[in-house]
Amino acid sequence: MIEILSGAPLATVQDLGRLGALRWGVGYSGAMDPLALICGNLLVGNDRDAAAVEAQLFPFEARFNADGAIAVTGADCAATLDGAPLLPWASTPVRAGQRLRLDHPKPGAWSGARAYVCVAGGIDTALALGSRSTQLRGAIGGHEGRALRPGDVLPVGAAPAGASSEPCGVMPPALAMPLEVDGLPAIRVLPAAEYACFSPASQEAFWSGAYKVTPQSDRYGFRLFGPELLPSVPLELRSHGIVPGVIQVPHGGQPIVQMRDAQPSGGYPKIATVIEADLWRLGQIPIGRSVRFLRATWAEAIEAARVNERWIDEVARLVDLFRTRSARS
Amino acid sequence: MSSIFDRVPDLAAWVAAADIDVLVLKGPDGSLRLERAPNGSVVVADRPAHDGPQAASGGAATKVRATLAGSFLTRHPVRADRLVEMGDRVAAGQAIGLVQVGDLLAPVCAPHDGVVEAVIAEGGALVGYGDPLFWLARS
Repeated sequence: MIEILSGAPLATVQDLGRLGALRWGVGYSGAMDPLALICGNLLVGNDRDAAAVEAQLFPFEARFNADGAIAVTGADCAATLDGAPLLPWASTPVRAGQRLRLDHPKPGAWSGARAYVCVAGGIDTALALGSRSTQLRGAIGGHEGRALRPGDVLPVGAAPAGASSEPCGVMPPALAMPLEVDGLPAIRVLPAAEYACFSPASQEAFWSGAYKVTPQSDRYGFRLFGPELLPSVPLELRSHGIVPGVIQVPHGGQPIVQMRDAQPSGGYPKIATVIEADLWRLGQIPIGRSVRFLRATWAEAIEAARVNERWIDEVARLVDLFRTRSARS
Repeated sequence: MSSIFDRVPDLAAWVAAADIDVLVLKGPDGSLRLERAPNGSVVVADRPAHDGPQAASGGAATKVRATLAGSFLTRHPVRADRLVEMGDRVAAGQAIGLVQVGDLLAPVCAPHDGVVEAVIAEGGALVGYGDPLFWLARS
Protein backbone atom coordinates (compact mmCIF):
# COMPACT_ATOMS: atom_id res chain seq x y z
CA MET A 1 0.00 0.00 0.00
CA ILE A 2 1.02 3.58 -0.57
CA GLU A 3 -0.15 6.44 1.58
CA ILE A 4 -0.25 9.92 0.07
CA LEU A 5 1.29 12.46 2.46
CA SER A 6 1.58 15.68 0.47
CA GLY A 7 -1.22 18.05 -0.37
CA ALA A 8 0.15 18.89 -3.83
CA PRO A 9 -2.99 18.81 -5.98
CA LEU A 10 -3.66 17.07 -9.30
CA ALA A 11 -1.71 13.85 -8.68
CA THR A 12 -3.78 11.00 -10.12
CA VAL A 13 -3.67 7.26 -10.70
CA GLN A 14 -3.10 6.58 -14.42
CA ASP A 15 -2.42 3.61 -16.66
CA LEU A 16 -2.18 3.71 -20.46
CA GLY A 17 -5.77 4.91 -20.74
CA ARG A 18 -9.35 3.86 -21.29
CA LEU A 19 -9.30 3.04 -24.98
CA GLY A 20 -12.40 1.89 -26.82
CA ALA A 21 -14.96 3.88 -24.81
CA LEU A 22 -15.17 7.00 -27.01
CA ARG A 23 -18.37 5.60 -28.55
CA TRP A 24 -20.02 6.09 -25.16
CA GLY A 25 -18.60 9.58 -24.86
CA VAL A 26 -15.86 8.46 -22.45
CA GLY A 27 -12.43 9.91 -23.24
CA TYR A 28 -9.04 8.20 -22.98
CA SER A 29 -7.47 9.65 -19.83
CA GLY A 30 -4.21 7.79 -19.09
CA ALA A 31 -0.62 8.90 -18.58
CA MET A 32 0.35 12.19 -20.25
CA ASP A 33 3.75 10.54 -20.90
CA PRO A 34 2.96 6.91 -21.74
CA LEU A 35 6.64 6.15 -22.51
CA ALA A 36 7.66 7.15 -18.98
CA LEU A 37 4.90 4.95 -17.54
CA ILE A 38 5.91 1.97 -19.69
CA CYS A 39 9.61 2.35 -18.81
CA GLY A 40 8.80 2.60 -15.09
CA ASN A 41 6.67 -0.53 -15.31
CA LEU A 42 9.38 -2.46 -17.19
CA LEU A 43 11.95 -1.45 -14.57
CA VAL A 44 9.89 -2.90 -11.69
CA GLY A 45 8.85 -5.99 -13.67
CA ASN A 46 5.21 -4.96 -14.22
CA ASP A 47 3.03 -5.32 -17.29
CA ARG A 48 3.50 -2.27 -19.52
CA ASP A 49 0.03 -0.89 -18.77
CA ALA A 50 0.09 -1.23 -14.97
CA ALA A 51 -1.22 1.86 -13.15
CA ALA A 52 1.08 4.36 -11.43
CA VAL A 53 0.77 7.73 -9.71
CA GLU A 54 1.23 10.68 -12.06
CA ALA A 55 2.46 13.76 -10.15
CA GLN A 56 2.45 17.17 -11.79
CA LEU A 57 2.71 19.58 -8.87
CA PHE A 58 5.43 19.37 -6.26
CA PRO A 59 6.62 18.60 -3.70
CA PHE A 60 4.88 15.23 -3.77
CA GLU A 61 5.31 12.90 -0.81
CA ALA A 62 4.15 9.36 -0.14
CA ARG A 63 4.93 6.56 2.30
CA PHE A 64 5.19 2.86 1.47
CA ASN A 65 3.49 0.53 3.91
CA ALA A 66 5.16 -2.63 2.64
CA ASP A 67 8.53 -3.75 1.26
CA GLY A 68 8.76 -3.68 -2.52
CA ALA A 69 10.40 -1.95 -5.46
CA ILE A 70 9.67 1.35 -7.19
CA ALA A 71 10.88 3.35 -10.17
CA VAL A 72 10.36 7.09 -10.60
CA THR A 73 10.32 8.10 -14.26
CA GLY A 74 9.28 11.16 -16.25
CA ALA A 75 10.42 14.59 -15.07
CA ASP A 76 13.60 14.41 -12.96
CA CYS A 77 12.32 15.57 -9.58
CA ALA A 78 15.50 14.86 -7.56
CA ALA A 79 13.56 12.10 -5.81
CA THR A 80 14.67 11.01 -2.36
CA LEU A 81 13.78 7.98 -0.24
CA ASP A 82 14.05 8.86 3.47
CA GLY A 83 16.29 11.72 2.34
CA ALA A 84 18.69 9.53 0.31
CA PRO A 85 18.92 10.50 -3.37
CA LEU A 86 17.34 8.18 -5.96
CA LEU A 87 18.45 7.80 -9.54
CA PRO A 88 15.96 9.10 -12.09
CA TRP A 89 14.50 6.49 -14.47
CA ALA A 90 15.73 3.58 -12.32
CA SER A 91 14.29 0.93 -10.04
CA THR A 92 15.16 0.77 -6.36
CA PRO A 93 14.05 -1.42 -3.45
CA VAL A 94 11.85 0.19 -0.78
CA ARG A 95 11.13 -0.94 2.77
CA ALA A 96 7.91 -0.54 4.68
CA GLY A 97 7.75 2.89 6.30
CA GLN A 98 10.06 4.67 3.85
CA ARG A 99 9.04 8.09 2.55
CA LEU A 100 9.40 9.16 -1.05
CA ARG A 101 9.70 12.84 -1.88
CA LEU A 102 9.66 14.43 -5.33
CA ASP A 103 10.66 18.06 -5.71
CA HIS A 104 10.07 20.60 -8.45
CA PRO A 105 11.71 19.38 -11.66
CA LYS A 106 15.13 21.00 -12.10
CA PRO A 107 16.47 22.13 -15.45
CA GLY A 108 19.00 19.65 -16.80
CA ALA A 109 19.80 18.03 -20.13
CA TRP A 110 16.03 17.47 -20.35
CA SER A 111 13.31 19.03 -18.19
CA GLY A 112 9.93 17.35 -17.98
CA ALA A 113 6.71 18.37 -16.29
CA ARG A 114 5.25 15.13 -14.96
CA ALA A 115 6.71 12.30 -12.88
CA TYR A 116 5.51 8.72 -12.55
CA VAL A 117 5.81 6.70 -9.38
CA CYS A 118 5.68 3.08 -10.56
CA VAL A 119 5.42 0.36 -7.93
CA ALA A 120 6.14 -3.36 -8.39
CA GLY A 121 2.69 -4.92 -8.63
CA GLY A 122 1.09 -1.71 -9.92
CA ILE A 123 -1.48 0.51 -8.23
CA ASP A 124 -4.35 -1.93 -7.84
CA THR A 125 -7.44 0.26 -7.74
CA ALA A 126 -10.63 -1.11 -9.33
CA LEU A 127 -10.98 -1.22 -13.10
CA ALA A 128 -13.60 1.10 -14.61
CA LEU A 129 -14.47 0.36 -18.24
CA GLY A 130 -11.28 -1.70 -18.51
CA SER A 131 -8.86 0.89 -17.11
CA ARG A 132 -7.55 2.22 -13.78
CA SER A 133 -6.96 5.70 -15.19
CA THR A 134 -8.61 8.52 -13.28
CA GLN A 135 -11.21 10.33 -15.34
CA LEU A 136 -11.92 13.52 -13.41
CA ARG A 137 -14.80 14.75 -15.55
CA GLY A 138 -16.79 11.53 -15.13
CA ALA A 139 -15.38 10.86 -11.64
CA ILE A 140 -14.50 7.27 -12.53
CA GLY A 141 -11.34 5.17 -12.33
CA GLY A 142 -8.26 5.73 -10.19
CA HIS A 143 -8.86 6.40 -6.51
CA GLU A 144 -12.56 7.30 -6.11
CA GLY A 145 -12.49 8.98 -9.52
CA ARG A 146 -10.62 11.98 -8.16
CA ALA A 147 -7.19 13.52 -7.66
CA LEU A 148 -5.22 12.19 -4.68
CA ARG A 149 -5.36 13.87 -1.26
CA PRO A 150 -3.24 13.50 1.87
CA GLY A 151 -4.28 10.38 3.77
CA ASP A 152 -5.40 8.47 0.68
CA VAL A 153 -4.16 4.86 0.78
CA LEU A 154 -3.66 3.14 -2.56
CA PRO A 155 -3.64 -0.65 -2.85
CA VAL A 156 -0.66 -2.27 -4.60
CA GLY A 157 -0.93 -5.55 -6.55
CA ALA A 158 1.17 -8.65 -5.89
CA ALA A 159 4.79 -7.95 -6.85
CA PRO A 160 5.94 -9.76 -10.00
CA ALA A 161 8.83 -12.24 -9.75
CA GLY A 162 12.23 -10.54 -9.84
CA ALA A 163 10.85 -7.17 -8.79
CA SER A 164 13.30 -6.83 -5.94
CA SER A 165 16.42 -7.75 -7.93
CA GLU A 166 19.36 -5.42 -8.56
CA PRO A 167 18.47 -1.77 -9.32
CA CYS A 168 18.30 -1.03 -13.01
CA GLY A 169 17.83 2.14 -15.06
CA VAL A 170 17.09 3.25 -18.60
CA MET A 171 17.89 6.27 -20.74
CA PRO A 172 14.97 8.75 -20.79
CA PRO A 173 13.36 8.60 -24.26
CA ALA A 174 13.70 12.39 -24.66
CA LEU A 175 17.48 11.81 -24.73
CA ALA A 176 17.35 8.52 -26.64
CA MET A 177 15.01 9.94 -29.32
CA PRO A 178 15.52 13.73 -29.25
CA LEU A 179 13.49 15.97 -31.55
CA GLU A 180 14.24 19.69 -31.75
CA VAL A 181 13.93 22.57 -34.19
CA ASP A 182 16.04 25.69 -33.63
CA GLY A 183 16.75 24.61 -30.05
CA LEU A 184 13.08 24.15 -29.15
CA PRO A 185 11.33 20.83 -28.55
CA ALA A 186 9.52 19.83 -31.75
CA ILE A 187 6.19 18.06 -32.09
CA ARG A 188 5.19 16.34 -35.34
CA VAL A 189 1.67 17.05 -36.56
CA LEU A 190 -0.61 16.18 -39.47
CA PRO A 191 -2.65 18.91 -41.15
CA ALA A 192 -6.28 18.41 -40.01
CA ALA A 193 -9.68 18.74 -41.75
CA GLU A 194 -9.89 22.56 -41.66
CA TYR A 195 -6.19 23.24 -42.35
CA ALA A 196 -6.96 24.52 -45.86
CA CYS A 197 -9.49 27.03 -44.44
CA PHE A 198 -6.72 28.97 -42.64
CA SER A 199 -5.14 31.92 -44.41
CA PRO A 200 -1.82 31.25 -46.15
CA ALA A 201 -0.13 33.66 -43.69
CA SER A 202 -1.58 31.70 -40.75
CA GLN A 203 -0.50 28.39 -42.24
CA GLU A 204 3.01 29.75 -42.68
CA ALA A 205 3.04 31.18 -39.14
CA PHE A 206 1.92 27.82 -37.72
CA TRP A 207 4.95 26.03 -39.22
CA SER A 208 7.54 28.73 -38.57
CA GLY A 209 6.40 30.19 -35.24
CA ALA A 210 7.10 29.13 -31.66
CA TYR A 211 4.06 28.37 -29.49
CA LYS A 212 4.31 28.73 -25.74
CA VAL A 213 2.45 26.46 -23.29
CA THR A 214 0.40 28.93 -21.18
CA PRO A 215 -0.60 28.49 -17.53
CA GLN A 216 -4.12 27.66 -18.77
CA SER A 217 -2.87 24.19 -19.67
CA ASP A 218 -3.69 20.92 -17.97
CA ARG A 219 -4.53 17.28 -18.65
CA TYR A 220 -7.63 18.39 -20.61
CA GLY A 221 -5.81 20.59 -23.05
CA PHE A 222 -2.81 22.86 -23.60
CA ARG A 223 -3.68 26.45 -24.46
CA LEU A 224 -0.80 27.78 -26.51
CA PHE A 225 0.29 31.33 -27.27
CA GLY A 226 2.04 32.30 -30.48
CA PRO A 227 1.45 33.82 -33.92
CA GLU A 228 -2.30 34.26 -34.54
CA LEU A 229 -4.06 31.65 -36.67
CA LEU A 230 -7.06 33.02 -38.59
CA PRO A 231 -9.33 31.35 -41.15
CA SER A 232 -9.66 32.98 -44.59
CA VAL A 233 -13.41 33.22 -44.03
CA PRO A 234 -15.29 32.79 -40.72
CA LEU A 235 -15.95 29.09 -40.01
CA GLU A 236 -19.00 27.66 -38.24
CA LEU A 237 -18.89 23.96 -37.45
CA ARG A 238 -21.25 21.58 -35.69
CA SER A 239 -19.72 19.65 -32.81
CA HIS A 240 -17.91 16.54 -33.98
CA GLY A 241 -15.76 13.82 -32.51
CA ILE A 242 -12.23 14.78 -31.41
CA VAL A 243 -9.34 12.85 -29.86
CA PRO A 244 -6.23 13.79 -27.85
CA GLY A 245 -3.75 15.52 -30.16
CA VAL A 246 -6.32 17.54 -32.11
CA ILE A 247 -5.25 21.20 -32.35
CA GLN A 248 -8.32 23.42 -32.35
CA VAL A 249 -8.31 27.15 -33.06
CA PRO A 250 -11.09 29.15 -31.35
CA HIS A 251 -12.05 32.65 -32.54
CA GLY A 252 -9.15 34.37 -30.77
CA GLY A 253 -6.68 32.63 -33.10
CA GLN A 254 -4.64 30.94 -30.33
CA PRO A 255 -4.50 27.14 -30.61
CA ILE A 256 -5.61 24.58 -28.03
CA VAL A 257 -4.15 21.06 -28.14
CA GLN A 258 -6.48 18.41 -26.75
CA MET A 259 -4.66 16.24 -24.20
CA ARG A 260 -5.43 12.94 -22.44
CA ASP A 261 -8.51 14.17 -20.52
CA ALA A 262 -10.02 15.83 -23.62
CA GLN A 263 -13.77 15.66 -24.00
CA PRO A 264 -14.77 13.45 -26.92
CA SER A 265 -16.41 16.18 -29.02
CA GLY A 266 -15.84 19.80 -29.97
CA GLY A 267 -16.78 22.34 -32.59
CA TYR A 268 -13.77 24.58 -33.17
CA PRO A 269 -11.90 24.39 -36.50
CA LYS A 270 -8.94 22.01 -36.40
CA ILE A 271 -5.70 23.18 -38.00
CA ALA A 272 -3.65 20.06 -37.24
CA THR A 273 -3.33 16.92 -35.08
CA VAL A 274 -0.32 15.92 -33.02
CA ILE A 275 0.75 12.45 -34.12
CA GLU A 276 0.08 9.79 -31.49
CA ALA A 277 3.80 8.95 -31.31
CA ASP A 278 4.63 12.49 -30.12
CA LEU A 279 1.87 13.05 -27.55
CA TRP A 280 4.31 12.00 -24.79
CA ARG A 281 6.74 14.73 -25.87
CA LEU A 282 4.05 17.41 -25.59
CA GLY A 283 2.78 15.93 -22.31
CA GLN A 284 6.19 16.66 -20.76
CA ILE A 285 6.52 20.30 -21.91
CA PRO A 286 6.45 22.49 -18.79
CA ILE A 287 4.24 25.58 -18.64
CA GLY A 288 6.14 28.57 -20.02
CA ARG A 289 8.19 26.56 -22.53
CA SER A 290 7.67 26.92 -26.27
CA VAL A 291 7.41 24.25 -28.93
CA ARG A 292 7.68 24.12 -32.70
CA PHE A 293 5.40 22.17 -35.00
CA LEU A 294 6.87 19.90 -37.66
CA ARG A 295 4.74 18.82 -40.59
CA ALA A 296 4.52 15.03 -40.93
CA THR A 297 2.94 12.72 -43.48
CA TRP A 298 0.65 9.80 -42.64
CA ALA A 299 3.48 7.39 -43.45
CA GLU A 300 5.86 9.28 -41.15
CA ALA A 301 3.26 9.31 -38.36
CA ILE A 302 2.87 5.53 -38.56
CA GLU A 303 6.64 5.01 -38.78
CA ALA A 304 7.14 7.23 -35.71
CA ALA A 305 4.75 4.98 -33.75
CA ARG A 306 6.77 1.95 -34.88
CA VAL A 307 10.02 3.63 -33.82
CA ASN A 308 8.55 4.15 -30.33
CA GLU A 309 7.44 0.51 -30.16
CA ARG A 310 10.83 -0.76 -31.31
CA TRP A 311 12.58 1.43 -28.75
CA ILE A 312 10.33 0.14 -25.95
CA ASP A 313 10.87 -3.47 -27.09
CA GLU A 314 14.64 -2.93 -27.02
CA VAL A 315 14.46 -1.42 -23.52
CA ALA A 316 12.33 -4.39 -22.40
CA ARG A 317 14.90 -6.81 -23.89
CA LEU A 318 17.85 -5.08 -22.17
CA VAL A 319 16.08 -4.88 -18.80
CA ASP A 320 15.15 -8.58 -19.09
CA LEU A 321 18.73 -9.58 -19.92
CA PHE A 322 20.06 -7.52 -17.03
CA ARG A 323 17.55 -9.09 -14.65
CA THR A 324 18.31 -12.65 -15.79
CA ARG A 325 22.01 -11.95 -15.38
CA SER A 326 21.57 -10.48 -11.86
CA ALA A 327 19.40 -13.42 -10.84
CA ARG A 328 22.24 -15.80 -11.85
CA SER A 329 25.08 -13.94 -10.16
CA MET B 1 63.76 2.34 -1.52
CA SER B 2 62.31 5.04 -3.73
CA SER B 3 58.73 6.09 -2.98
CA ILE B 4 56.17 8.12 -4.88
CA PHE B 5 56.34 10.60 -2.01
CA ASP B 6 59.93 11.47 -2.93
CA ARG B 7 58.59 12.71 -6.26
CA VAL B 8 55.89 15.03 -4.88
CA PRO B 9 57.62 18.26 -6.03
CA ASP B 10 57.90 16.90 -9.61
CA LEU B 11 54.29 15.76 -9.59
CA ALA B 12 53.13 19.10 -8.19
CA ALA B 13 54.98 20.96 -10.95
CA TRP B 14 53.45 18.68 -13.55
CA VAL B 15 49.91 19.15 -12.13
CA ALA B 16 50.43 22.92 -12.03
CA ALA B 17 51.59 22.95 -15.67
CA ALA B 18 48.76 20.74 -16.92
CA ASP B 19 45.16 21.87 -16.50
CA ILE B 20 44.49 19.44 -13.65
CA ASP B 21 42.63 20.30 -10.45
CA VAL B 22 43.10 17.08 -8.51
CA LEU B 23 45.58 14.25 -8.82
CA VAL B 24 45.07 11.07 -6.80
CA LEU B 25 47.61 8.26 -6.87
CA LYS B 26 46.98 4.94 -5.18
CA GLY B 27 49.44 2.16 -4.74
CA PRO B 28 50.13 -0.75 -2.46
CA ASP B 29 52.32 1.46 -0.27
CA GLY B 30 49.87 4.31 0.18
CA SER B 31 47.98 7.02 -1.57
CA LEU B 32 48.60 10.62 -2.48
CA ARG B 33 46.22 13.44 -3.30
CA LEU B 34 47.38 16.73 -4.86
CA GLU B 35 44.96 19.63 -5.22
CA ARG B 36 45.20 22.95 -6.98
CA ALA B 37 44.65 25.66 -4.35
CA PRO B 38 42.54 28.75 -5.15
CA ASN B 39 45.75 30.78 -5.68
CA GLY B 40 46.93 28.33 -8.36
CA SER B 41 49.60 26.58 -6.32
CA VAL B 42 49.45 22.84 -5.85
CA VAL B 43 49.16 21.46 -2.33
CA VAL B 44 49.36 18.01 -0.83
CA ALA B 45 45.81 17.63 0.42
CA ASP B 46 46.11 14.16 1.78
CA ARG B 47 49.20 12.08 2.44
CA PRO B 48 48.26 9.05 4.45
CA ALA B 49 50.85 6.83 6.05
CA HIS B 50 52.40 4.04 4.06
CA ASP B 51 49.93 1.43 5.25
CA GLY B 52 47.31 2.57 2.72
CA PRO B 53 44.06 4.49 2.64
CA GLN B 54 42.69 2.80 5.72
CA ALA B 55 45.08 4.83 7.86
CA ALA B 56 43.44 8.03 6.69
CA SER B 57 39.87 6.88 7.10
CA GLY B 58 40.09 4.65 10.09
CA GLY B 59 38.71 1.64 8.20
CA ALA B 60 39.46 -0.38 5.09
CA ALA B 61 38.84 1.24 1.71
CA THR B 62 36.97 -0.77 -0.89
CA LYS B 63 37.50 -0.86 -4.60
CA VAL B 64 34.06 -0.64 -6.24
CA ARG B 65 34.19 -2.60 -9.49
CA ALA B 66 32.12 -2.78 -12.66
CA THR B 67 29.71 -5.72 -12.62
CA LEU B 68 29.10 -5.52 -16.36
CA ALA B 69 30.87 -4.19 -19.42
CA GLY B 70 29.84 -0.88 -20.97
CA SER B 71 30.47 2.86 -20.86
CA PHE B 72 31.20 4.20 -17.39
CA LEU B 73 29.23 7.38 -16.59
CA THR B 74 29.89 9.64 -13.60
CA ARG B 75 26.83 11.76 -14.40
CA HIS B 76 23.25 10.68 -15.16
CA PRO B 77 22.55 11.76 -18.77
CA VAL B 78 19.55 13.82 -17.67
CA ARG B 79 21.50 15.73 -15.02
CA ALA B 80 24.08 18.49 -15.08
CA ASP B 81 25.95 17.36 -11.95
CA ARG B 82 28.00 14.26 -11.32
CA LEU B 83 26.38 11.64 -9.08
CA VAL B 84 29.18 11.96 -6.54
CA GLU B 85 32.32 14.00 -6.10
CA MET B 86 35.50 12.99 -4.32
CA GLY B 87 35.01 13.43 -0.61
CA ASP B 88 31.24 12.90 -0.74
CA ARG B 89 29.71 10.82 2.02
CA VAL B 90 27.46 8.11 0.55
CA ALA B 91 25.07 5.54 2.01
CA ALA B 92 25.08 1.82 1.29
CA GLY B 93 23.06 1.16 -1.88
CA GLN B 94 23.37 4.73 -3.16
CA ALA B 95 24.09 4.99 -6.89
CA ILE B 96 27.52 6.55 -7.33
CA GLY B 97 28.03 5.83 -11.03
CA LEU B 98 26.42 4.17 -14.04
CA VAL B 99 27.44 1.64 -16.65
CA GLN B 100 25.63 2.22 -19.93
CA VAL B 101 24.86 -0.59 -22.37
CA GLY B 102 22.72 0.74 -25.21
CA ASP B 103 19.86 2.55 -23.47
CA LEU B 104 20.26 0.48 -20.29
CA LEU B 105 21.82 2.42 -17.40
CA ALA B 106 23.01 0.01 -14.73
CA PRO B 107 23.67 1.76 -11.42
CA VAL B 108 26.99 1.25 -9.66
CA CYS B 109 25.94 1.22 -6.01
CA ALA B 110 28.00 1.88 -2.90
CA PRO B 111 28.54 -1.52 -1.19
CA HIS B 112 28.62 0.15 2.23
CA ASP B 113 28.36 3.57 3.89
CA GLY B 114 31.49 5.56 3.25
CA VAL B 115 33.35 8.42 1.66
CA VAL B 116 34.27 8.52 -2.03
CA GLU B 117 38.07 8.67 -1.96
CA ALA B 118 38.65 8.55 -5.69
CA VAL B 119 36.94 8.05 -9.01
CA ILE B 120 39.30 5.61 -10.71
CA ALA B 121 37.79 5.23 -14.19
CA GLU B 122 37.31 8.13 -16.55
CA GLY B 123 33.73 9.26 -17.30
CA GLY B 124 32.77 7.95 -20.74
CA ALA B 125 35.45 5.23 -20.70
CA LEU B 126 34.68 1.69 -21.80
CA VAL B 127 35.00 -0.58 -18.79
CA GLY B 128 35.01 -4.35 -18.52
CA TYR B 129 33.68 -6.72 -15.89
CA GLY B 130 35.67 -6.28 -12.70
CA ASP B 131 37.37 -3.04 -13.68
CA PRO B 132 37.90 -0.76 -10.67
CA LEU B 133 35.66 2.34 -10.77
CA PHE B 134 35.85 3.93 -7.30
CA TRP B 135 37.76 3.85 -4.05
CA LEU B 136 35.25 3.97 -1.23
CA ALA B 137 36.56 4.46 2.31
CA ARG B 138 34.60 3.09 5.25
CA SER B 139 33.36 5.89 7.45
